[in-house]
Amino acid sequence: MSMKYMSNLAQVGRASSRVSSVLRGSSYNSVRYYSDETTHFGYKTVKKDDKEKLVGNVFSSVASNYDVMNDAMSLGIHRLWKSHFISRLDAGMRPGSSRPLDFLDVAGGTGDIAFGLLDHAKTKYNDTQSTMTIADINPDMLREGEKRYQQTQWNDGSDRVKFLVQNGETMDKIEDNSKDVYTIAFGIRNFTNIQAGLNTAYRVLRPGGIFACLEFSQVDNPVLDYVYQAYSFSLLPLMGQLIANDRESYQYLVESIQKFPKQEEFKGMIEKAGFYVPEKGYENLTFGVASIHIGVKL
Amino acid sequence: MLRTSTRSWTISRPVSTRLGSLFRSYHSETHPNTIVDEKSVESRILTKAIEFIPEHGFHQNTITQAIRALGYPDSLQSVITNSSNSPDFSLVLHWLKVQRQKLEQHLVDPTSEFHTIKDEYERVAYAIKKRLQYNGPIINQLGSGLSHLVVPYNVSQSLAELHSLSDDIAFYAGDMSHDLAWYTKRVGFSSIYVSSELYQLQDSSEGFRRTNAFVDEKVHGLKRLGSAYNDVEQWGVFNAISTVNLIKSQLLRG
Repeated sequence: MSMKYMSNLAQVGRASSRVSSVLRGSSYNSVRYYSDETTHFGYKTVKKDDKEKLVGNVFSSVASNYDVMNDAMSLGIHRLWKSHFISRLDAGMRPGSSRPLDFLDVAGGTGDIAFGLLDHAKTKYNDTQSTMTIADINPDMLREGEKRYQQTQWNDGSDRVKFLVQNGETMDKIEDNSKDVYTIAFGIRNFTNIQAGLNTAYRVLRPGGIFACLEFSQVDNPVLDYVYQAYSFSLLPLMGQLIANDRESYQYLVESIQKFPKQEEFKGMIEKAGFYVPEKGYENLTFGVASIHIGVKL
Repeated sequence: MLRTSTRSWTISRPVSTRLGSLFRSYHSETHPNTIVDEKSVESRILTKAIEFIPEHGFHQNTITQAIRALGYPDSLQSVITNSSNSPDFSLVLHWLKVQRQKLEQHLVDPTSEFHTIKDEYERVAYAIKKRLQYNGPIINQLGSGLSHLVVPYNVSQSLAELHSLSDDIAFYAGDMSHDLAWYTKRVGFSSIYVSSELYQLQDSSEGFRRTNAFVDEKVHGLKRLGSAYNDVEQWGVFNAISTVNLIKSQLLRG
């Protein structure tokens, strides 16, 4: 199946026909290799230089009602995933430790992971010193987070939380070996070059630092996968249209989920960046709709 | 391969050397050799944590101490917490595995006293007593450790570990059974081990003398049970055959 056909499919196909083509054509899920200049934007093939801008447009347009949409689309499950993610990390400065931890939440836009981590550290370990840097490539998303930050308990003048507009692939304002916990939730699939993002994560972490990623993934069970595909390809863009009046952006979100590497493949990429991956390396949530990946810099 | 050959040489099985090809042990030679992968970060942390158990118990705090002692930042905690087991239970399970590995190393060591014992059940009693001795340094924390094992959602892993232990003990003692006795023995050794460990919790005698006596008594009980079962079986089979023969002879006479 040619890429041209795929992009046509994504643009003009009606929702129902799209579902069936997706389910039939598992072959093009595996087409993930592009020439040097191009990459994927959902099912479209675009120039690498353009992807950043295109993703930027998507998130600028969804920023204001990002969480409303997340709740609507995942039936609130994304909150469970995020809180599970935070409790699995169980991060925080333990009592009697010699120095606080430095957190970095990448693609943290609205800040829910960042504030959740700080909350967990405070309630469980009484940690009120660790610092948090929230980085996002998109100023609109970051502004949403800052708006929210004003209302949280973390806005206490201690200056522990910083917001930075940063490209996750380069992180030019963040020094080598300067962070202890690198988290990225539902962000890494939007990177133009995922491997570069992982390499940067390795660069900014201190030895002993943790890379943790929560991302959409592959459903193992074929029956459940069918239901999930049908739901995501027919209902999600529709909901995007009805609630946020923005079909295209949600169409992209759904397609980018399909394009993201499978669990084992992504685990391999984390290892390739230099991380040590403990035990199984990932944990599937809700049958693999999302999964948690962990890597350790030693 | 190396390990397979070591086993057959160091373990003095009375019959197997002569009739090696006829007797096959039912202890899988292909199951993973390493009980604890000492290279992985998780097990390095947990092994270090064992040093802190006497002081801090089977608790997450123990792991924190270990990570600090290894010179890592607190962020490394996530390696342990990012598992379906609680950090406390992970530590208990790791402790059990390390002790099982230690026991195995002792049993395969050609210089150990174990190889001077010839009787299978004596060897079992020796192995169980040896394993219980390893509880000595942490005996004050053992109760809380055991309580983690019986929590319902941990039970399956605890039982698997217990079975592995009794399987190891049966194998190194020279168990050659390949019928129902295979199961009976292992279940028997497991129950002896568990009851002895509970006995040990209350035992304040020097060097767990009373626990050792308890183990000896239990193992002898199992041995008697085994021979009683064999005797009954023999008697039953003999009588069954005699009855058949009796009927046959009566029929022949017409």
